[in-house]
Amino acid sequence: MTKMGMVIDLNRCMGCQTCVIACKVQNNVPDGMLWNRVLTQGTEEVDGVIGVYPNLKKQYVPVSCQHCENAPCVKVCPVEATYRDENGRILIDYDTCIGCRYCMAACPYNVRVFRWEEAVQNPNFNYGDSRVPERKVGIVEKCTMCKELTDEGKEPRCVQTCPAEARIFGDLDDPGSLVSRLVQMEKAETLLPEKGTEPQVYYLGLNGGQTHYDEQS
Amino acid sequence: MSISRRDFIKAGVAGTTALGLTSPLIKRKWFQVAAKDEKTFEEEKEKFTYHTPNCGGRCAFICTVRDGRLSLIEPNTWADNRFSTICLKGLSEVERVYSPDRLQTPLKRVGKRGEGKFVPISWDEALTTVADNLKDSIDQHGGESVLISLSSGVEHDYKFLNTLLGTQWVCEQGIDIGAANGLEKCIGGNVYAYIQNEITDWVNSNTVIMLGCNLLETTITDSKFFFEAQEGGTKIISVDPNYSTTVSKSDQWIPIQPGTDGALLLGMISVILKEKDWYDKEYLVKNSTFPFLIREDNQQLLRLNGEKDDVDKNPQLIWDETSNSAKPFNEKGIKPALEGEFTVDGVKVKTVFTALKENQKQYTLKWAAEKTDIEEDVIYELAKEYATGGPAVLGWGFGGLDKLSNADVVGHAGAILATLTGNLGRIGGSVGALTHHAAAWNAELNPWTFPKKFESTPLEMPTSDMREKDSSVKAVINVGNTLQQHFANLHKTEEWIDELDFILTIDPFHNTSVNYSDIVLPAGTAFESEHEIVNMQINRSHVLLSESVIEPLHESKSDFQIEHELLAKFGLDKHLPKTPAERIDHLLDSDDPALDGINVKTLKENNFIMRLNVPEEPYRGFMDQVYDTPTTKIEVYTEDLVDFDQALPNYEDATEVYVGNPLMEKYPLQFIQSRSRYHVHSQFTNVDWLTQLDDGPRLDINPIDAKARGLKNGDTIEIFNDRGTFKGKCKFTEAMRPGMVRMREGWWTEHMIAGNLQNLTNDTFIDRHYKLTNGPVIPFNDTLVEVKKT
Repeated sequence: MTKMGMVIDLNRCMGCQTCVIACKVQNNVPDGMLWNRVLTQGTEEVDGVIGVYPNLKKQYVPVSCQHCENAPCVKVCPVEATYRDENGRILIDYDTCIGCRYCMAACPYNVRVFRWEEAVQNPNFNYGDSRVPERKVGIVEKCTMCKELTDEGKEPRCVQTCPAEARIFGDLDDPGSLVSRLVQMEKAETLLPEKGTEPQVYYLGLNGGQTHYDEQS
Repeated sequence: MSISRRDFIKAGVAGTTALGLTSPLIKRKWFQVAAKDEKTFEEEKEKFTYHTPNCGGRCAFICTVRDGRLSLIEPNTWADNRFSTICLKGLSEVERVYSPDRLQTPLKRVGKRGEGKFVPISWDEALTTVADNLKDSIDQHGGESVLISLSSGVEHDYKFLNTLLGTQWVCEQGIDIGAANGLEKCIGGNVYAYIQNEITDWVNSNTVIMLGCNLLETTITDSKFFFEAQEGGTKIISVDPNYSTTVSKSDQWIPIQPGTDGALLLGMISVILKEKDWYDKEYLVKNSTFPFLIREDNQQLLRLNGEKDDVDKNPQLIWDETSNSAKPFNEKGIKPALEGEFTVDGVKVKTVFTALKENQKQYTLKWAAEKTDIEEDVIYELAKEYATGGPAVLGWGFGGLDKLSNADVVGHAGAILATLTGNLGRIGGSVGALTHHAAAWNAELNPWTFPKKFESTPLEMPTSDMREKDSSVKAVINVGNTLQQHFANLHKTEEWIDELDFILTIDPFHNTSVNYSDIVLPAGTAFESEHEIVNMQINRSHVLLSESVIEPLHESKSDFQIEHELLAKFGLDKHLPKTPAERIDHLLDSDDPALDGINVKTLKENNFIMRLNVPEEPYRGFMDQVYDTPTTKIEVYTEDLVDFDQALPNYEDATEVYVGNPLMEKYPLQFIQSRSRYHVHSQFTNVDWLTQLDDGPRLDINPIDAKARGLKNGDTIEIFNDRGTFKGKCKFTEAMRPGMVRMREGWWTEHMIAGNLQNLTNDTFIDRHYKLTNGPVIPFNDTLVEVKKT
């Protein structure tokens, strides 16, 4: 079996948003939606800091679908539109999705987006990888771990373009892969482990969700 | 604070709000809903180009073109694969190329200059009008009456037009040269005084000290080398008034009182001079002018024949400890004294090193701590790490200290620090500007030449001075957005604009400068050309070639074509290469062995990128300790600046931003503009994909300053001083040092609620600056303002 996964090194993530735009253009994501966002820990702003000058910290956390092994979205989908494929990716069959949004309520990571209305496409044509399926109004969409690229043995676009080389993609079922070795040896952590979702996206430098700043104070 | 589910929900809501509401361009009618059922047969092609905005790096792209439209951009593969990079701006070109801000046809002004009223005209009418106006000006006042003013992100430099018409030519005069003015006179080298060693050499450094440099936002694609060095044990220290992204990733942050970086470096020099084994005497004697002798009577260096002349005929003297006499510094078999006072033919002299030690007595640790608002211990430890924790890099960015009038003192003090510690011409060493990917292997091109009668006119004065002094310039060809970006104090620029006979703008976008122009020509973006091959650059030790990715949009033409057609109106196009490919093959047909085998044909065969024939190791400058100065040594003493008391670096306050300036009673806040990851100067400010993340023009302000003025986060405020005013929204952030406010650089007037950032900026030149290598620096950030709620 293959279990596609990713390790994101937060020590290297500098919040440059390249992965956000790379995902948007690759997957033809229209204005008003993003499949991948860079959050800043402890704040609601892009690029926010915590603390009071000059005792400050900033920790970026890129978040997209965590491709959970125990995915709540798969369990709640009434029509089995959301499923786990043979490579361990959580995918959505856009033709089957009825837009009930149970999956959005079930996902603890808020990474699924709903196409409420006809998309504002800017520029006004379908950009990106032509193999990425078009999505219609009234259904849910999200990160596919760049299925069209990873099916070919390539890296997802966010991994390929990360200027800081903070993202590593690979097979978690292969004990010799770099992602497997990082997960085992480098104290890799997942988001919200208490939810029992068992994400296949791991983070280095998450410090259990504790920032360095909090450790000091 | 741990991450909870609520954090993701909150952040998601905030993100969604930002996406929907703050981007006025989204509402334009231009955006049509994507057509349904478009999935007929779509032809896809791959095209190769590279990115041209002035972040310095030239990310190479593979572009997917579908049905003639630029649809996807990904990094091309370099011979040295570490440089196969891209960032959010490169990816966003898919939107930017199709921007509603594109100029679609040539335009003729019908309103007043600045009003922005135009009517479309034909290319023939536009080019005839331009040629007639230029001919009139040149016939009456000579070629010097025309100034070609180029934005830094323009790939095609219009030098053919410049030379064939004999005009003046400028690209960002007075910008990014502040600290370079102090460093370059000591070691020579390039105009911007970039660090000598490539950033890939940082893994060999033990310490990197960055002064006001937000490298991880301004030079994004070098970030991997920053982290590689850091993970390998290099300690990275950021000195910055504000908590930048780069600060957040550094091993240590030293907050500093803005504008006092020179005081910090002078304090460090004093610390190092006190510790005898912290500086390398042998290095100083061998490689610098520290043993040279300063005459007490006139503070000039003692020379063989008295008068200043060339170094070979009339060399400077040193005190030879073997013969106990003064000897030419370049004589064989001498043993120069580093320190001491002597009398030579009745003239009292002392070594430069002795003079430095005396001069530094005023710059105590206590003094430096008071000036910089950094604790004495911290400065001491910083000096210790720099001197004893080498090899070490000392560098700066262009967006902070460089845009204050005392920047040259920083460059000069930096040169002396690097010299004292032997960090020049050293593996893992370097001093200078850290950004722009500039330190790399390079090669000499074979320039395209013209018959001798064609000659460009050298720039007669700093362009800022043309606004007030008696200048020859009557007509300006603005390529890009220079009228907004290359001058401080926009109102003064506008007065000059009103006096000019003719203004032409050439650019793909309807930027702020366009509105001041009489005729506007729509250029294609770097992705568009009528010609198969478009341009070539040497960057990061490789030669990059670009081809046309898509046909020119609307009625635009490539810059190459515009220049050609304009010169045809003068009957001078016969002197030009017929195609860009002909020009590029000529440039590459050089004697430099680094270019052997590299031409348009071989580049095309190699995915449009080939590495220069150069060694594999990182580029490192001055490894032979032969400097680009008259004496070939590091010239630490500047005789030309004796009258300004800057022969050795002396601290000087900036012109506006300094503690105790009486103007602070009226305008207590420093206003700075800075680059961010989202823009390159005024480029990309009109890209919605980026603005959704950046949140548009906002004045960053510390809550302490904001609350003292009764402001609420997000209030519309007026920012003003005696030079002008603009309006914007405020954004509270603890990342700003209290007393400073900041806006991201480059917003066009149309993006603002009212006014332009440059209405406020300081354009003061001081006398000393005219003596410096690159002339006066425009002190954009040396600006005091007040802020109030509207």
